[in-house]
Order: sequence, then C-alpha cells, then structure tokens
Amino acid sequence: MNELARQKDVTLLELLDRILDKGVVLTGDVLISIADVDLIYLGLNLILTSVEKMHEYQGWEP
Amino acid sequence: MPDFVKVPLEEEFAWYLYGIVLCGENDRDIDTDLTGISAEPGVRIIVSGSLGAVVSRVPLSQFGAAVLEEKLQDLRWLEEKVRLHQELLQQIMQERTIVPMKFGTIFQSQERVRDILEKQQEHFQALLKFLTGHEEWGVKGYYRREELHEYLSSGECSSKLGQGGTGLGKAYLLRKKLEEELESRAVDYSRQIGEEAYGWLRVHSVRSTLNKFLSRNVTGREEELFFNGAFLVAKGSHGAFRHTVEKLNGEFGAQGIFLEVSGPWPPYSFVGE
Repeated sequence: MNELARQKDVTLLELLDRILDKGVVLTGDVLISIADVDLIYLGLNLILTSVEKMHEYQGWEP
Repeated sequence: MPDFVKVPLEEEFAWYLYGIVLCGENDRDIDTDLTGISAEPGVRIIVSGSLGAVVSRVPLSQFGAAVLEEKLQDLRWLEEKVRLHQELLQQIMQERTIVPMKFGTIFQSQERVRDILEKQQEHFQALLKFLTGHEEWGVKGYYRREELHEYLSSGECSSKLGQGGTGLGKAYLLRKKLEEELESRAVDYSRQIGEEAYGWLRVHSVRSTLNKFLSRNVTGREEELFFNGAFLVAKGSHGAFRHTVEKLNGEFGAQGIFLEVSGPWPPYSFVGE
C-alpha cells in the first residue's frame, strides 16, 4: 500500500477534528447522518479523560 | 400473490458515502479494489452525469442509527472506522479531487445515492472545479506553558518571589498568583501570535478558516492549543506555505511556541455552505 495513504502518524485528534466535524452534510435522502457532533465531542472528552486515567493506573503496575 | 416481496438483503445493508468526484459523462459505475470502512474491498463509484459517488456497502448491524450512536462512544471502534474512512479518501485523492462527506453519511440504497448526484449535479460540479488543484493543510499552534511563562516574565518574577519572604504559605500564595497572572498573559500573547501567523499563512492560500479551540482534555497533550487553522492551498504554493511555517517556528520556537502542520487533507473545511 502507498506510503501516503497509510498516515499512521496522523493523530486521532486531527482525524476527528475533520472527519467528524467537517465535510458535506447531506440531508433528505440520507438514511443516517451524524448531525450533532458537539454531543460526540462531549462523549469523546469523557472517553479521552478516562483513557488517560487508565494509562495512569497502568503506569503504577510493576 | 402479494404484489410485494420483502427482500431481506436490502434490510440488512446500507450504502456509506465517502465523497463525490468528477467523472466522464459516459463513464459507467466503477468497481474498485479499494478497501472501505468495513475493512474489506468493495468500494464502488456510482456515476451519474459528470459526478461519481464513492460508496461501499455496510451492514446495518454496525451502521444502523441506534447501533451507530452507541458505537460512536466506543473510542477504539471510532478510531478504526475514522482511519479506514480517511485512508480511502487519501487514496482517491491521489488521482481525483474529492468533496468529502462528513463521517457517517449513510444511504438506504444505491438509487438514493444516484438521486443526490442528479439533484445536486451543478452544485457539486462547481465545487469540484473550484477545488481541483488544491489541497487542505491544517496548522495547529501550541505553547509550552513553562517556557512561555519564562519568556514573558524574563526574570522579573524570581525577584518578586524572593521578597515573598517569611511564611511558606505566603510564598505559596504569591507564586500561585504570579502563575495565574502569567498564564493570562500567555493566553493574550499567544492569541496575538496566532493572528500574526494566520495573516502570514493566508497569503499562500486561496481560502482559509479558523477552527474551534480544543481543550487539553480533547487534545490529550501537555501543550496548550492557541491556534487551529485550515488552509486551502494550490499544489504549486505548497512549498511557500511550508516555508512560512518553518520561518514562524524559527522565530517563536525559543519562546516555547510552535506550529504543527498536517495534511494534505481532502478539503473537509472548504466544502460547507
């Protein structure tokens, strides 16, 4: 696979910042669209915080 | 005989739309060997008029409305899917200009996708023509708290601290107050730098926009985000754009301020209303 296409170094933040927040929003014919992104960010905020905590706890393990 | 028959297949699958590209008037639907969001090959381009819709079939067991809402809270699942979505667009981008859809744009059938292409033919054609030959670059600006505080105080507070004198408690309060004061100055100062950087970077772009600030909880980084911009840059101007970023980093690096570039992205930030 092409090097460029596999940008593993692209952070999740950069991805979410665009793919979830930007791009064309189609309505009408669409079966599902994720309209309320702020809600997702809110959820993410909590998730990221808890992931961070989890890592902290793991850091204490021998 | 009933004049309708339930087709179970149609109920179990839907069509995930990644983006819209330009095609030839006489092109037929194209089956590619590219991998979509389900992590298996089967991406197709549905062609109508001069437009093509990049889609793949997804199971409703994962992408149905109710399920999706739940899945979105699962960061591991979300990360995998968002990466697959982006990797596909990245590959398409190498050959064609694409108008990217927001994550999770899902249609009941291919016919519905075709309808959209027909209805919005002119709009998407114009947008694609405008975007051709351009790429989106993201620039985020961060500062390292301590370094910037040190730069902004440049010696003045250490003497003040020395005068704090007698009690430990008093010294602690004084330090805390200074810290808050410095951070408020750091915020003001970095905003100023952000405006300046935006001005320089805009010169090399045809469109630019400021995106929202994200807290450290969301960025998950030690540094404070003070600038979040997106720029639509002609492929030919990319060198000058990067050069400007490097120049700004050279100028402000010693103050604990730096810019990070990401891209090229599909033009996510330049396809809205």
